Amino acid sequence: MQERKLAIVDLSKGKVQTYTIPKSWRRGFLGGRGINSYLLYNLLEKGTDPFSPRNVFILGVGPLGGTLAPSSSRFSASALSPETGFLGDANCGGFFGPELRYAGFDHLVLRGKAKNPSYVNVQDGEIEIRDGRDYWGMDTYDVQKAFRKDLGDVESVVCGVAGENKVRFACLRTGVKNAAGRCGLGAVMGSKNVKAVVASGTDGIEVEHPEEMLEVVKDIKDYLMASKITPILGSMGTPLLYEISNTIGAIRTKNSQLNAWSDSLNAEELEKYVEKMISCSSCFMHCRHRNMFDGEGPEYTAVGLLGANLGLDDYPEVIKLNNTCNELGLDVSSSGTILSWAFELYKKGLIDKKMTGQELRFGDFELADELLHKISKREGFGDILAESSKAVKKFGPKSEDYLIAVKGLPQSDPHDVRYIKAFGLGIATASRGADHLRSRPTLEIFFRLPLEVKEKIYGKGVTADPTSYDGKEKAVYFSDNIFATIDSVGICKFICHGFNSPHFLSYEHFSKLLHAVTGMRFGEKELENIGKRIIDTERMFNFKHGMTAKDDTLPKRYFDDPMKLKVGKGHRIERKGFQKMKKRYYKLRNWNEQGRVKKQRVKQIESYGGLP
Amino acid sequence: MDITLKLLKPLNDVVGQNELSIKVENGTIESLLAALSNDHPKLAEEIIDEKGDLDYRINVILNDKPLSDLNVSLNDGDLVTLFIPISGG
Repeated sequence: MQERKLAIVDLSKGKVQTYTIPKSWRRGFLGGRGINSYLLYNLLEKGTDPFSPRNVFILGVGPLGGTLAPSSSRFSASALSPETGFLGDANCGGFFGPELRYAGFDHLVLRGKAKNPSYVNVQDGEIEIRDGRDYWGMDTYDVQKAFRKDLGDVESVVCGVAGENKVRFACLRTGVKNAAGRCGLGAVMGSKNVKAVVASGTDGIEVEHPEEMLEVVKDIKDYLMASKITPILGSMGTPLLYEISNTIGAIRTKNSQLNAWSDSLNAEELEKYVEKMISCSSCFMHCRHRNMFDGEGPEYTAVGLLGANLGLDDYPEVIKLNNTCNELGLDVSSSGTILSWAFELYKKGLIDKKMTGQELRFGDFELADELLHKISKREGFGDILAESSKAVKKFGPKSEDYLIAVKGLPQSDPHDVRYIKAFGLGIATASRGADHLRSRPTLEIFFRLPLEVKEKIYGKGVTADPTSYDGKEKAVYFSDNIFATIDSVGICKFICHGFNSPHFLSYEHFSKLLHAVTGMRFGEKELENIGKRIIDTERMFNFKHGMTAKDDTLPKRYFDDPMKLKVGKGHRIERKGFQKMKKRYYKLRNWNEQGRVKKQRVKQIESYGGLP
Repeated sequence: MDITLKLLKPLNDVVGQNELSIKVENGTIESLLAALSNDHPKLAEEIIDEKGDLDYRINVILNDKPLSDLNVSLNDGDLVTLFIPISGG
């Protein structure tokens, strides 16, 4: 049976220790996000400062990562988040994850802090902490080119200037655009004096049943290619979603003061600036744009949050801001949310020129670009914005009323959740804060999906009406579980059952792929239970670090201000309906009324034990 | 009566236009689909299922109201928007 490896790199002591990952962990948590979360829970002490050497930084690839399995490019990065103080976890495509496995490792833990700027080199089973002073200060594109020039055909995951300067929403970057974007993991890397983890390997991945694998992959490919959704995603990628959200009045606009924006950001306008569509490792979707301004993207998130949310309607300007974030190593979602928050606060007079040093306004591309650069260097007002939601301390308590964040994490995507109530519950309860990629039950937007189809996927009791609170906890519960599982096997959520389509890959497919690759048999129910276990482990981690049920909430604006335009007009989240829905969600998860994982379950999860 | 039909991407690519002006005999979605089958068979093929109903994966917005039930009355000058509701991100 395929063996999986974990290495712990102590940057302070300059030591590396390697372990074989226990089979019980693989059965309990699979790999990727699952094992990362379990490691975080075990390795981090209560009261740890995210920027202290005691924080740990973990990279993890799932058991299907880097194989022939479709869209198996993904890896997860995890740490205590400097943006939220809770779980920091981000999932990323590209080519690094597979390369880490080819280099001989599935999980890598960095602890301590290097004395000088360094990088960690992983090559054919060997790990070395190397002098990285020559690379420090480079942007994310240049540093990756430099590693290739100096070391050959390597893949690297890096932090940009923003990460070096500990911007709380600095991301990790690999390739031109792929990002482990959320929760400030680039800042954690930078705080450890590490510029990059570089991987290269010639080992390949041992597949237990190669012929079976070929058959399973062919069947899955045929299944996916038969879907109507596949060619749409492959030709336009996520920017397609902008027009859909805008049509129903669900585009976060000018810090959610409005909920619809210009048609000039529709996908067909973007096509004028697209050089070609490209893909990640092992993927036939090819959903990513290479743009004509020497970059990649934008994704839907960037279109909405660096466009509508900043009051910009010119595509070249939005693409350039997207490229700026990519170069500097800034998370697009937090960047767009924090800038728009500051613009509104300035307009409302809650902050002034004394603090900002300049006039702030929506619809000003040069201003937005200048502020992104200042943030990355923590220069002037950029130093305050670099604190992300923690800037409330400088802006004053009233400013929090206008912050579109949950648990301190600015909302990830441009979708205003006041209309579709399940989307609201999803971002309120997601383990890393306001994020659609943890539990968004996207089928809620299929307004004509027959109830029996919906019930078959989400369970009996879910209601057809997206504006109803009834039964929506089931839709979130289903999504939360399956997304945790897919993040842990190493496949992209883009082809996950219930994400972009009522079809796509489900536990049945994961089970077949896992058997072919690892030789281990996982039942469909067992895989769903692994998802549940991962969610519980992340909840245990968050409660250990001070989270309470009060943190499972939504931005004040979503409760108090009705949407003003289009289909969403008049809609908001009612507190009573929301609280009841949240309570039902807790019950479904078998958490207690305070949203805490019950003692017996904690004991059961802890019984998987520490490092071997 | 005249109905304006708005098509979001990629449905607009099928007819090469974002909006169509459709003449319908009576104020039902059924008559709108019949007119589409006649005037724009390629589009009809994309959105109408084998039973002759509008595919459940197509969202319909009548003016600013999303429809779950297609048993509604259309009025002269109404705007009907059709799209495939992908929302993953």
